[in-house]
Amino acid sequence: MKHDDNILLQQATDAIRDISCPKQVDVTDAVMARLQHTQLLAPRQSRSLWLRGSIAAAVCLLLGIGINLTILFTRSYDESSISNMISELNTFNDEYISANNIMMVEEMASDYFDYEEGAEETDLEY
Amino acid sequence: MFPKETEYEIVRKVLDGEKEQFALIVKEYQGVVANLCYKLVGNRLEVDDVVQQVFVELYTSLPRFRFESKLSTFIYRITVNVVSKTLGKNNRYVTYDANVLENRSEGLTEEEKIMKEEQHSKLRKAIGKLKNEQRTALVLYTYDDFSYTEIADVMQVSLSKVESLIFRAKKNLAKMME
Repeated sequence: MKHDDNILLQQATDAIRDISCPKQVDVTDAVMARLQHTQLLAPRQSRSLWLRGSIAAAVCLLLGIGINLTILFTRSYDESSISNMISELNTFNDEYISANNIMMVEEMASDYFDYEEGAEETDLEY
Repeated sequence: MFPKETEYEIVRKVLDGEKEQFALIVKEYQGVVANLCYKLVGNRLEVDDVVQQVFVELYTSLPRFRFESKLSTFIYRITVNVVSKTLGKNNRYVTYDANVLENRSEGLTEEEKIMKEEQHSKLRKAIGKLKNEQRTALVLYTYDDFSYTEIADVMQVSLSKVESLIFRAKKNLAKMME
């Protein structure tokens, strides 16, 4: 499109090229005075300020994250220790119950054997 | 204009705190900026004020300069921004002083010179009536033979938007020249 032979665009281009600022502009002193007057910081200084601010913000953020993580970790540790205790209790309970059952079975077995032995003895006696 | 390496060196010095080096940039580019400003705002605003504003903005924006493109492209971008902020988007009707065509009228007869000046005068009026964005795209199109990509970069718009702006500018100019 840029290289097409559009006459009007070419004429407009020429007309625009012919437009030039009618007066000589020299704003060097005015700009430097304005920069001085408005006490604009040198870009490097402003950049270092920005950098310092960012670092401070990042440190605060990291500290915040650290504290939160510590709290979370402690809480989870507590929770896990409680759950450990509960599971230990459950295991103990199960073991106790099963131990009781074994004892009961043993007692029943011993009663049975006592009875059998007794019967045998009785048989022998008879 | 400075060669690219010199430009970069001066910018680095300014960024390192050598504030007075910025005067070199102002001295070197003020003419180019003034011409671009005048093409964009015409007699509507005081060109000196706009040029000053451009350089103050440039100074505060220098830390954002990436040392990838030419400093002039960065300066044009700031100029377009400052002009756009100052004029506002819907502000039209810019007028230009009558220009002499001495540099382009060599070899022409008096009659041809007059005809050419008349035609350019009509075109200048029509260009002044374009919307700011269309005028900016058209001016940059003629300025330093910018490519569409460079125009898009300076105006911070998409390539298709630039194409559409130039197409509409051309269409509107044709209408006004009828």
